[in-house]
Amino acid sequence: MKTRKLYNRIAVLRAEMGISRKELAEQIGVNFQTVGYLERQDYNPSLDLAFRISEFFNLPVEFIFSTEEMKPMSRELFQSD
Amino acid sequence: MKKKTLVAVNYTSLLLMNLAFYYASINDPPHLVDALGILFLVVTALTFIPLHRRSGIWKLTHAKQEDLDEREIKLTHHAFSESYSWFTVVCLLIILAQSFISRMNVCPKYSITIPLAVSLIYFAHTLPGSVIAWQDRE
Repeated sequence: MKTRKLYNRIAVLRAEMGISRKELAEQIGVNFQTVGYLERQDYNPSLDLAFRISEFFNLPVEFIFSTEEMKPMSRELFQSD
Repeated sequence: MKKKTLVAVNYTSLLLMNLAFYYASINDPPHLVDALGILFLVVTALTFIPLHRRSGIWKLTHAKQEDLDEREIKLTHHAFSESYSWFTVVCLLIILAQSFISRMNVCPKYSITIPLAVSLIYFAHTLPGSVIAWQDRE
């Protein structure tokens, strides 16, 4: 079965928190290279890992992951006002 | 050097080493053939180091499943299943070649030599890592 590409905001959120890939990897229990693959959207995480990421950032999972290309967070905030 | 080039050089030198040692085992060749076999063995060893050891691929394919994360498990699973089919084909071709050679009486001295047996062990251990290196986006 061919899977869909999942888009995510992990790189933006990690930069916002000012943590390294290694620190994030330790928190969510993966290898730091896997964080790189996730950020480049070369790897779709399992549901369990997606929830671990959402719990770490304390944000809803649908805010971090999407099946459609994501708009910049600033534009999304501006449009919601 | 790119990983794909390293994989190609590694296995080509392994094949050439076997051909040289095989030729040396059935004939009484000049020492040059033995020297060529050793040279190809050195090339195999030299390409093994950056391809499997320094890149961390050897650790990845030889680690316990509980030490890997989900992406690494998926990656190694794919590499193992693909290398299983390749290894089977190579082994069957060697058996086929042996039965063909013995039946046709092309070379009565033909047998599975020690370099070939060692090469097959090496091949079995490095093939999953080579699959990962070959498919890695550089």
